[in-house]
Amino acid sequence: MLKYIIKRIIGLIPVLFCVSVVVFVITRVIPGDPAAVMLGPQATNEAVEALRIKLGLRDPLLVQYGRFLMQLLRGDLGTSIAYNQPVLDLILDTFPNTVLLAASSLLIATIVALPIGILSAVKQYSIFDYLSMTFALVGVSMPVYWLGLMLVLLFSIKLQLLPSIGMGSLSNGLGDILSHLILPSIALATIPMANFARITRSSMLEVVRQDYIRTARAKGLSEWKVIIKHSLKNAMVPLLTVMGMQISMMLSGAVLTETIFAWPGMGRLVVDAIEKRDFIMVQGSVMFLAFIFVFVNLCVDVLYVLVNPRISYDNKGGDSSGA
Amino acid sequence: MSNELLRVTDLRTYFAAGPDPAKAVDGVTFSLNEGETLGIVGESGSGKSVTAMSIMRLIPNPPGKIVSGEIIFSGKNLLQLSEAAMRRIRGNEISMIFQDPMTALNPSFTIGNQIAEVIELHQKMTSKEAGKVAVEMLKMVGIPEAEERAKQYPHQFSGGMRQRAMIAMALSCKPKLLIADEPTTALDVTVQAQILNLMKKLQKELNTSIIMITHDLGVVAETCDYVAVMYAGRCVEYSDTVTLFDNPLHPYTWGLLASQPNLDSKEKQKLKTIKGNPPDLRNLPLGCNFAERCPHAQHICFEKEPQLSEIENNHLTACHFSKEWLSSRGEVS
Ligand SMILES: Nc1ncnc2c1ncn2[C@@H]1O[C@H](COP(=O)(O)OP(=O)(O)OP(=O)(O)O)[C@@H](O)[C@H]1O
Ligand SMILES: [Mg+2]
Repeated sequence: MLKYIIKRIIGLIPVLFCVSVVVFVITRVIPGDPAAVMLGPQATNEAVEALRIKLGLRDPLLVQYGRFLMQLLRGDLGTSIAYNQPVLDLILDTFPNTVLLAASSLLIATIVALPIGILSAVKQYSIFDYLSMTFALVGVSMPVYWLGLMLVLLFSIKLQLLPSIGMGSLSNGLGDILSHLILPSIALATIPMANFARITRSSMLEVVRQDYIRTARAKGLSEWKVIIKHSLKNAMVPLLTVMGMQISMMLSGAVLTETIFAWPGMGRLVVDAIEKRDFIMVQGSVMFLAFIFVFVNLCVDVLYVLVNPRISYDNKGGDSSGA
Repeated sequence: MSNELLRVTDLRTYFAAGPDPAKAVDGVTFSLNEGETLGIVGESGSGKSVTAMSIMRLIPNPPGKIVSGEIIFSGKNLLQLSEAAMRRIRGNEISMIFQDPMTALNPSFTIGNQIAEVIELHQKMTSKEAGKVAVEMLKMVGIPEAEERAKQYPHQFSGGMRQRAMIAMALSCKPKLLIADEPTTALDVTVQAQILNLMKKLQKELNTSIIMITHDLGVVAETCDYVAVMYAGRCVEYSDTVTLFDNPLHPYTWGLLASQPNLDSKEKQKLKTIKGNPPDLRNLPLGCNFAERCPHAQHICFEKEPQLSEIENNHLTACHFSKEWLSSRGEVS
């Protein structure tokens, strides 16, 4: 198992290298001059030029990239132009908030979607099945922006039940943070929830007609045990893959949600940085997110192996053998 | 005579999909004594598996439904038991092994775990004790290094080994009845013989009755005391194995016997096949289901359905002319 993980980590190095090239190129070709934006419209040409040189923007691109890469290897993401603080510090200040938001969304999505998906599969073609799958279809095509605004309209403005912006503060107790967390979490959870429910249903349907489910029934197990123990574990395999993808997507999808709800997460930091043409900040945070993505994927792959004994650790986590 | 363990009377199981139900099992009658083996033979689609699943009461509903009949097992009518009572019988007093051992075991749990599960469920044991019994069972079915093997997953077992594991699982609660639905069809010939011998050996040790579903008459000859021949959802002939082979009284059984290779016969015979196809189960003919294909069919066969009746002692057939076949014994071949 350890060997497998190490092998996978080594495999990640070229991936991250490629990402660094792409990020670097993209941040250089975005239109807009960071020096001009920083100094404002009144600045003289000389001052702007001086700042460009100071920021290293006049160096050849290869030199700039070399500098970026060397910093990366030292775990340094550079210093934000706009905030004049290390990028990593800024990220580490806000990233936990994003994780909190994404995690609570994932939790909501899973808790709601799993039972719905299972029940829809068990009671295939029932009214429950039709209703929940219709909702799921609506859910995946729901624009997060619109949903977020509707939630705010309904729960904050009309019913005045929940706060609509910000994160609250721990000094007002955990309840304050939780109440701030509810609306953005629901907004962010909707699409993954709908996806999970559909995947759970289809993979459960696939599993319940397998011979080993008939065997489980012939053993005298209760229907509950047949579903939860014998079906779900096998149905989890495709679900885990989708979950892994969704986690990555939620971290990036959080940008939109964080903007709507003024959630002080990393998404807002990035949006802010793009507006201010703070390319150091942008390249640093995208690198950071890329790192998180590959890390999450690695974790999912490891989980995958744990759930599915047919994948051996040695064959690179690839195909299952002996179908 | 030994005691009767199971008596199935006029069992009917239909699958409803559309206006006409498919009469997959439509009047099956047989009985089985303690410690004996009953073979159920018949073409593909004749309702053998549905009969077995009806006894287990595991017919998927919808679309399937047991519409009538009696299944008396150890004095109880299984069709009148509650689902909870039935669960206590499944895997405990009646257990089942299936055709394809490659797919009948759950890929996500170890072999030992899957055997222990059924023991723990029915025997009031802790999981640790059940695990020990599971290893004992694996030893009993001839799996070497059982302790190690119990920790492995199905994909690490060969087909024959998996079927042994299935047998271990099925016999772990010492059931009174084991239903084996084509247990050797998916295995190669040498492994087939090993599995059949193993089943016979364990049957003696545990005094288990077996229902052996197969379309291999060789398997029947080797393992069964009694045979029920099924055709299009009906039991068309029932007798002890020797009588069935020596003195079959239903034209369908003759066809079945003629279509099997016979190594004992001196002259090399050409294998005969039964002409035509079985009838549509949604639209069964008015008279005898086999009349269309029967070389001896008369008017009455197309008009009146023959009932299963006792022609000689413990030999039942459903053919209008069985009595005549019996009296002209020897002339027909
Ligand atoms: N779940 C089901 N839904 C609808 N029809 C079914 C179902 N299960 C079985 N049948 C029908 O019942 C009939 C008998 O099937 P069964 O499986 O008992 O045949 P069999 O004698 O076991 O054949 P084989 O030798 O191929 O296993 C078939 O015509 C089949 O179409
Ligand atoms: Mg069958």
